[in-house]
Amino acid sequence: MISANDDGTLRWAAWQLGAPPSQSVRLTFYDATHAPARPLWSTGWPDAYNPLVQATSWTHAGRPVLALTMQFGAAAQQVDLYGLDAASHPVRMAEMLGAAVGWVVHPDRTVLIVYQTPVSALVPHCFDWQDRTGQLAEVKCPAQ
Amino acid sequence: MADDLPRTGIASTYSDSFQPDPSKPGLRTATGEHYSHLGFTAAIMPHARWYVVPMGTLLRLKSNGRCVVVKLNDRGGGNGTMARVLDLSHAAYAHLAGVPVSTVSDRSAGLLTLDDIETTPAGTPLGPVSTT
Repeated sequence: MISANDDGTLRWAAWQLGAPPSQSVRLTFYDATHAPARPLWSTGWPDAYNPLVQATSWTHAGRPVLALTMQFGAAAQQVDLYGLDAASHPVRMAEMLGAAVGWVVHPDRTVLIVYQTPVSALVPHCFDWQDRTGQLAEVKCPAQ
Repeated sequence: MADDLPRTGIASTYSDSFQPDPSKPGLRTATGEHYSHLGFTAAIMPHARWYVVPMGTLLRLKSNGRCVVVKLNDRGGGNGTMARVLDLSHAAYAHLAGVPVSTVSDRSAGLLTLDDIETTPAGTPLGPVSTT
């Protein structure tokens, strides 16, 4: 669960439903101003599992970009990026699928790593968020 | 979206990192099983091909005159092409490549051409199939 605004009244939550091999992932955006919380928007992915929502240091229209990662297989992990538009409606801004997904977080910079497998070994491809264009841009991977 | 399982294609094997410690279970596959380098399993790819056959389907694969039966129990991210059809467990890859499983690693693994890919009935034993 992640807050989408400063006072924590708008929140994201993701969870897994069911058990293998019939699992799925749901992502919901809801208003927690009053109990019970009021769902405002929801989406889902059949067959996905191990969801993780995390706030990033990236912003879209001045608000934090949410990253949802989930798996479709041992070597199939997807990351979806969400923001909010001016009316606080969720907007999916990017989706990437790789063998695995990771992050490098420095105080001044966050980099998304999507690992591909041209053969067997994992090969990292790194991306930074460009708020001006509203897109991910591939960048040189930082030394780790 | 792909409609059918192709009869031929390219395969490789899982990265070492999906079961870094052979004495411990590997990452969980799409069917909930833990990946094992020593099992006879496969992941289908890319995303457009994930649903052409159900999870649990047994596949009979031929390459280099060798044959192996594997269980499809996973989905893979692929390498951005439709040519790559499967990632095989180390054991299945080793048999088709004609090398000991202990020698299969990220440093040694390559791409295999699968000369034949076909489904085989449930209950078919997994593992190497004699071609003599």
